[in-house]
Amino acid sequence: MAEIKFEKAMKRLEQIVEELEKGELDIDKSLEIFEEGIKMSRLCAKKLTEAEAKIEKLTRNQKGELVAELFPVEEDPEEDPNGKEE
Amino acid sequence: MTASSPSQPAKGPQVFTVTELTKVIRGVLEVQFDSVWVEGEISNLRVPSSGHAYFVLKDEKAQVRCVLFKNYRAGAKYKPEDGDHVVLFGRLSVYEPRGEYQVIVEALEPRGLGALQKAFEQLKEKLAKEGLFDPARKRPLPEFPWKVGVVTSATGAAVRDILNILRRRNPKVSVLLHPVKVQGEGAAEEIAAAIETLNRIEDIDLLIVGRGGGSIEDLWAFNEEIVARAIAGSRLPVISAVGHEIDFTIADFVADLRAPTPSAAAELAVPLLSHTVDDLRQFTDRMMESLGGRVREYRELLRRLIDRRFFREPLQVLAPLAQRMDDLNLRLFRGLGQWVVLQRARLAGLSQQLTQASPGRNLARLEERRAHLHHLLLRQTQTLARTAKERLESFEQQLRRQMAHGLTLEKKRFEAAAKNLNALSPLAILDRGYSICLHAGAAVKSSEDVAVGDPVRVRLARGELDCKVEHKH
Repeated sequence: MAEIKFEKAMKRLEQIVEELEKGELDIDKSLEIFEEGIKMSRLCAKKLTEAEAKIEKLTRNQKGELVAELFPVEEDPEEDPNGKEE
Repeated sequence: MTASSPSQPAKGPQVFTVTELTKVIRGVLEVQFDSVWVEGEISNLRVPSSGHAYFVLKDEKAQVRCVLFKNYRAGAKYKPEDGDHVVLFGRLSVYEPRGEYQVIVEALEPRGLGALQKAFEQLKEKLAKEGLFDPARKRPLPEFPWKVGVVTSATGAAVRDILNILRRRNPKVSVLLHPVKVQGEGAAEEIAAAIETLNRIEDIDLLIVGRGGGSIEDLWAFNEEIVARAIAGSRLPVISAVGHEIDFTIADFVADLRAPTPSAAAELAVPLLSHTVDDLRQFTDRMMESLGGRVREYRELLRRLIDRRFFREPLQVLAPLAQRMDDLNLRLFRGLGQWVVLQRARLAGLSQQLTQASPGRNLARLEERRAHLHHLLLRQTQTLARTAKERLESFEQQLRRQMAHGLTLEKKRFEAAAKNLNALSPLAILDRGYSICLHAGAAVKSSEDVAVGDPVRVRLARGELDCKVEHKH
């Protein structure tokens, strides 16, 4: 993902909430970190909205290079999921 | 039978009954093969209600019947199944009713397990010594992986389980599958190479390496050193997911996290999207609430401050000041009145002196002059009073204006002005305990001004005293 990692943003947001709830900051600092918190919150929401799942499978092309191609997933596996493989 | 006893033709051939023959054979077999190891594959296994197990042990060319009696079966950990390749220990016997020889099995174990088990233990010990299983090496999993690399068979149940669960928990998570052979020749090498390949892809957050359930041989690739080393060398955190809950492989020991099954690996790998969204919403709400609370608090504090009397009725704060001013005002007028009285008394004294001192002819003129002086004096005192009053009123006006602004500086200035004004009053000094000594209508400023025996009048703040000079110093 982009500049700030989603989990970092969530962590920071959580910290900000805790600091604000402690109520030990002056109003200027409160407003400042509140603004930062809103930024983090928007960032997380944006990332969640933007994230798009892709299911890919690596295969070799004619030149023998590994390439990712979309991998179709069957919704309803009929065989015993605990069965042996291959 | 015909050819069995050619050496005794005279007595005729020795004829066994079937039972006798069987007994003899049984005796021979039981003595000769009272403890044997036999290796082969189990087939036709059946366990009737008696609880004994019957099966046929076979290889490519031959087969032998076997029986595993209930009491031997009970304690054994290994439960044989058709198709299992086993080594068994027992003795040979004959089942007489059917003339069939069979192996009475006393112990059996799956073939190969011993060797694999040994290899497993040896590798485990070696890698443990190297510190590859050290808990300190285990890396935490990313909390919100966006892309998960999966190393498993593209056709097995494991990949479907993983994909289904990942999608169910978090449809935003991408998956990159590196298909590999998970059993048989070359599987371990493929798995190791896949782990290395995926480690070179930048946007992957986490690897799941595994396969579905199978026999210990099926899972063996995950017990190979090359796989263990690939996992240990992985830049990305690795979740191992091999077989079922009960299966432990070397890969499980090296991985950052062991999942009991591929499905469980998917569950451990990603948080529920709904939880993440809830967390985000909750954080945001709490932050809003918390800051909103602060703002409300401050607003309330400000309201309480503004609500104080000082702000609501600023003039009220100046009430004591106004009172003091009224008091000064009053004293000024009283002082002025007293001054007039004093002047009048002086005038009366002068008039009397004048009357006494002047001959009768001048009386009318003197009287005229006196009336004129009196008139002047009156006018003068009135003017003085008016000026003082005007000045005072101007002060008062100024003060009111200042009070309206509620300025403390002005208050101080007023007080200073009022003090000066007070000091200007000729009688203010009397209020501080001083007195004026008068002789012949004039203030006595020096003992030279009077002689012993002279009457003097002492003017106090309130009232007067008539005294006589007794001594001079």
